[in-house]
Amino acid sequence: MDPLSAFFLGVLDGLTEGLLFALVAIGFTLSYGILRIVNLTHGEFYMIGAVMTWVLYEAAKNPLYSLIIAPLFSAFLAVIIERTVLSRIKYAPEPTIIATAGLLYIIQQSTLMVIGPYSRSVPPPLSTVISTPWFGYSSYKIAVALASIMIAATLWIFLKRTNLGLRMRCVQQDAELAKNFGINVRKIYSLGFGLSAALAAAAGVLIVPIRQAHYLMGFDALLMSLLAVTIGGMGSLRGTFLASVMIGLFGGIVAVFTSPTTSRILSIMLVVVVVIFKPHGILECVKK
Amino acid sequence: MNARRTIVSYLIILLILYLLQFVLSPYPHSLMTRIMVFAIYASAYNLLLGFLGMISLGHSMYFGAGLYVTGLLIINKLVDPFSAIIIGVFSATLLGVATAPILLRTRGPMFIILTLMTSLAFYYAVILFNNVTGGEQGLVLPLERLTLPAGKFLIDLTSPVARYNAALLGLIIAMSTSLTIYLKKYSTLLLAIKENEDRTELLGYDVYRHKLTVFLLSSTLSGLSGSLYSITARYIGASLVSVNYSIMPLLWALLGGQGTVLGPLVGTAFLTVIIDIASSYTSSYLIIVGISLIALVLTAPEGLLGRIKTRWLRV
Repeated sequence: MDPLSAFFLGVLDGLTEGLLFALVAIGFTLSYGILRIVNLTHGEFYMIGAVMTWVLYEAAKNPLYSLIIAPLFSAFLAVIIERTVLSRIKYAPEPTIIATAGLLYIIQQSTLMVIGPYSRSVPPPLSTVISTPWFGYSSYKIAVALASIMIAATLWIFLKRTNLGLRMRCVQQDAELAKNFGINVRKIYSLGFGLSAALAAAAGVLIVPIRQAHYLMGFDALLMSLLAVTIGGMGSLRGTFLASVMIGLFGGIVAVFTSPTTSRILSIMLVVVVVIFKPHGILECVKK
Repeated sequence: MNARRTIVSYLIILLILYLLQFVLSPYPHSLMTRIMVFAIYASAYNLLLGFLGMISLGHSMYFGAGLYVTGLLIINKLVDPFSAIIIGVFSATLLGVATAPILLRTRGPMFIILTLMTSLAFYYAVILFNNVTGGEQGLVLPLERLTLPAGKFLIDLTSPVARYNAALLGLIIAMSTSLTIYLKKYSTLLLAIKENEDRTELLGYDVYRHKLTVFLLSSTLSGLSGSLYSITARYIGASLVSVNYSIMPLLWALLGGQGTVLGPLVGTAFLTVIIDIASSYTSSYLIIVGISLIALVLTAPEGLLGRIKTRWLRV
């Protein structure tokens, strides 16, 4: 393959990956925005989405069910975690990080007990190859990119146009004040955390046909979310989305010419450099 | 009074550790060696956590710097084991000098995220250069490279006795460092920074310099632990620089009680023994790490030693 088409392939792959991980990262930033917590368990919800897709595929041979069931299950699990652990430590920053690190191990190791240390694959529901003059591209990846955009857009409309979304944004801005206006903050916390987990799980469902389901895959998603929120600005949905797409593109292009591992190292270094110059994210200057 | 009690209990524990090697059977003997090596790491971590209240999720890279530099120097027959340890520890300090100015720009959640990311970059670099580092599979240190000429004698680092005492010596260095800081007035200043960084800065203290000092001490001692690990376990591998090995010292220090001198040792011993037992029953033994982290946060934030202190000793 000539360098130019390799470059375009990298752009497409990076874009798909960026959009997909944007869902995970938006979830991460949402839980930071509403509950003010750094949730290290976030990647595990993504892993649950992927693993459940495999389980449901084995059971029903139809991967489409899982797009509804897996996010709901993750959200349910997240609400339980929020009620039983996070609310009891009052969302204090450091204890929360310790507790979510603990939950990460519990979820990850329980999954290991259930499915074993194997990579499980599910065939993509769309197998047509879209051929361009230079290379063929999997139609499933395009569908994933479009689905990610649709889910993100739906979330955006939900937050901006519905009553519940308005309440969530109120809590995000000032939880104390929102409480005084009669908003049930406890409920919003649970809903926000559930929603954040559901987003991660949805991304997990979509990725299984591209990458395999494995009990350790959550770290990757967590790293991507951390990278995205660091340069997008913690709690900023728009910034996180943009940052995630940018990191995806960067990673995709670099990976074509080097290796995925090198591209990860370079992405991390890029983010660290951004932190030195813009400690509050790239959109900080736009806001002011 | 309290200071004297701390010193006395510290000396008693060290004496017990020294004497233990004469009574332990081979397996507990090697387990104890591992515990002491890890306790160095926990003590190093506790400098940052206990005195400054800073949670780092990236210490595995300092541990890894010591581990890989020492291990690779010995495997590639470049220097003798003693110099390899010195160079390994020094390289962890260097890595600290290189990373601290960036990491210490941030605090709170951002510091945690940034440390986690940098250590992941280190981990991926180890994987990337797998032709040198051995990657995930790792490398084994050859037995014949581990003898050390000391004057007329020959110290054989492959013998259990030498490994045990090397680990003990490292532990003495690490715990004495914490004890010295603990006993000095300096710890009051660190406490002030822990409680309120801005106010301490306002009082005219150079907060950054003190944070840097503790951070470098912590990374150096983490490197010492990594160095000794490569010698005592005769193995270096990428799994030892993964996120797990950044979370472990946090758990060890928290379990034992952050900010105490003996806590990290107690926490490490407790958890290492439990994991050792659990790993013979199930492959998902790391679930114990998860359960203890949650249990700690929910019930005993002051750690095991802290809990015992407040409940029974009333110190």
